[in-house]
Amino acid sequence: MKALVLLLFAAMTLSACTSPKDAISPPVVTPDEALPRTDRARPGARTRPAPATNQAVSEPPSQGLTPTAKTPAASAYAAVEIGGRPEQDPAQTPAAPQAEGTVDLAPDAWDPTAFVRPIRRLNIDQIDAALEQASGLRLHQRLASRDYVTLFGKPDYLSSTQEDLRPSVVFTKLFQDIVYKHCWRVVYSEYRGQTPTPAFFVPAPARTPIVEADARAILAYLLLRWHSLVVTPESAEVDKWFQLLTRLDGVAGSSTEEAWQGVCVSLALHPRFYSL
Amino acid sequence: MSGHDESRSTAGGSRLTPGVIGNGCTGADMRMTWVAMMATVCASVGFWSAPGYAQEAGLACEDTGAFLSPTRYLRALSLDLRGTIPTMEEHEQVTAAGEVPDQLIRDMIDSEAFEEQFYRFHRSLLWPNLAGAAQFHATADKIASVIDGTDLYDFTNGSGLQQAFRGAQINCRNEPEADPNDIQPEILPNGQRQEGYVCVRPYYPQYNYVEDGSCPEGEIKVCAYAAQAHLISPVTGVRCDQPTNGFDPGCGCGPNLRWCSGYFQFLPPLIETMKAQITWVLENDRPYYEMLAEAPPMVNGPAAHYYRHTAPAKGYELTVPPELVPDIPYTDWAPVPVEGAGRHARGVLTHPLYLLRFMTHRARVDRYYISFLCQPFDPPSEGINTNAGPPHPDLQQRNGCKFCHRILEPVGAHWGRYAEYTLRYLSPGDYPDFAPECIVCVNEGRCSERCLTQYNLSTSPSHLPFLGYLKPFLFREPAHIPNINEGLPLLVRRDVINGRIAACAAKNVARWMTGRLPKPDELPWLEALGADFAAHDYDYKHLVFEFVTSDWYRRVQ
Repeated sequence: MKALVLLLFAAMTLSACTSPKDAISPPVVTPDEALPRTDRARPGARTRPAPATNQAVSEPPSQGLTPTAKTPAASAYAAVEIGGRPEQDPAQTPAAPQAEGTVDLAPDAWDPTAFVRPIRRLNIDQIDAALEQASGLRLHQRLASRDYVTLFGKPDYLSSTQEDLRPSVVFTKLFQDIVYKHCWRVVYSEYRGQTPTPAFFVPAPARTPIVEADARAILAYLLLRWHSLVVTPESAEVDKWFQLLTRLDGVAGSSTEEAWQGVCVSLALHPRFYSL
Repeated sequence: MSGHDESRSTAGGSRLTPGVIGNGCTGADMRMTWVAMMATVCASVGFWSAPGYAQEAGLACEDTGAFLSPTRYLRALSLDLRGTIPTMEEHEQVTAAGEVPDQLIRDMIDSEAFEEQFYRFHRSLLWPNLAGAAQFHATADKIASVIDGTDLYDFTNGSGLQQAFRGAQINCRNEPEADPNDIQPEILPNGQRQEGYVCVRPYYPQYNYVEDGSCPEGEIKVCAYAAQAHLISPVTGVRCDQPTNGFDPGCGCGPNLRWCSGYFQFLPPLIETMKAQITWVLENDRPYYEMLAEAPPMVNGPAAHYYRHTAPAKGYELTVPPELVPDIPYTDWAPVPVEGAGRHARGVLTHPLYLLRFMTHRARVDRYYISFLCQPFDPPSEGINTNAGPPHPDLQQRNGCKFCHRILEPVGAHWGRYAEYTLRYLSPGDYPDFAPECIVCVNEGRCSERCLTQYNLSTSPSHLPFLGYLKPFLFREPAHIPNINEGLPLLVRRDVINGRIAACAAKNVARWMTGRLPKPDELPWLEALGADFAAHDYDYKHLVFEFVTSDWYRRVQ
């Protein structure tokens, strides 16, 4: 058996070395013949054998590939198994694809009840940028700079490839931590006039005790700045935020400054801020 | 924005009871925490308990058919196009105008911030990252660094070179080596060897290195074996810049350590070059599809070193030959195009990260089809019969496989001249379609690495017609053979002509901007949007502008 295989190879080698084109013909498909668009054939491309097309499989491979006189018997080929089963004879297999369901490979998992646009929280790069833009103060520590950014749903394209924008418990906890610290800095510095360009107490200065007209103007301004919400100081929306401010201010032991910090935290942790 | 309308997104304190807040509040920090937490509850409960949330879609609101208010529309635009919220000046401009001016939208799309968002989205399509021995180890041969706890630069333990040179994973002596050209290691009682160090100026900065004055300023202590700069090994007489000579005791890191690098040293700069290639179409107002197979290869300082020194020493034959790569200072990270690069080197589909991230032709096709043709290789819902008859050797015809492989195999041939599992461009000059010697070697039983890795050597009946041909020729039908040498430009041109890139780009923009796949009744409009995109010469900015000014985008959440 081994000798027969070697004999076959020797014959092929001899032919290939002397005239490769002859050695592997017929049939021979030149690039121009093979190509419907002959202008794309690479100049100087070598000839190549005909692959297993309908025409090719109509004959046993040995008849179409080796010179007649030197062709050993087909039994010279080593048996090939695929997955423990004998290889299928190409001649016995129709080349045309068989029906295996629809050929449309696009997913059909449409949800007819889906809403126009699902609410997504901002990704952590957007949150970092939005927090800095809204507060006018650079973050001491950005969410995106943390080592465990994947916990915030940011994919690394190795262990995860989809961005998870659900407001998970982990995200909420870590986001809150950053917001608490950041809002403390924002209000602390603006309350003491340490910010060259205020971004919080813009319509009116921070005052203790609370002056309602000033506070309402500030709240309306903040709702536009943080939530892109256009409201007047007398609106029902501002009523709610003013109520929040006054109730936080009324907490035993807390100060007006801390009440404003609470407002800042509320603005940041409101889904209207961190979602889209 | 009625989806977040004021009646639902309350921040009011109706659920807030001061008595609760007062409980447990002692110190200032604790007070702040409680205040913040309760404020959070107030802010969130009203929103997430809204009727929309109660519906089965989870975090989704019902479609009321209304449009976003101008300022909320502005906010959505700013976040999607620039990644941040609008400025107060923009808020005031829109409030005064009662609408978002088109020019403001165009300014956003023309901004650098939009390029960043554009890249961010395309990163999700191309997955540019590497890890593990199977992928990134391939990019850094002779791995070396300053050894932890020392000020000695040496091969790392993982490289195996410490073991090879010293007989154990031990460091060199922290003493100068008397003659770097004649290393005399100290022989330990157990037979292990320890040489001294040599002062070397490395090609890249060692940011955490603490100089102790032992070396001139700017130079570092490098273990003498690693510091060797011979091009020809004095021990074996072979070249030291060849990958097979990594364990040659006469070969070190080369001049200025140029052949050595840290494990992940080149990953971030290579990612930056892919980013530059992606955004090239925006910066140069080029058709979108040119990103795939036309954008020139980019290099920065580290990447230039990688192309010029590291990759050749590793034995890679990159699409960009070293002599074409400009010599850029290592610390310069600004990407520049490589002039004169061949068409086979252009486009992100030939970027080293893409070829390494997707190491087989099939994986490369899969990612391309999913990301740029919107056609994932999903089986039909009724399943595939994988057990029908004996297996055909050609996956294009094998039952159970052919459903996908009728596409995967011929399209994969477009990457046929980019070797699998490595970085090697199989140039037609070095790797002709047919190599007679690869038939001879089968007969002789001794094949070169070139034949073994890149040519068909199987002699089974079904493979025999392709004996001696490049592997991508295996089972190629005549109509698909040009794919191999025409490469990716032909693939992209095909999908430009048939309109699928344009159609998918429109779907991708919708997915990017709305966070969901389009519904069937929205597809006709998206198809029209894709056709309009193609009619405007694949101007991506035009596509985005058309989408974000559509009713769909302006509708509420």
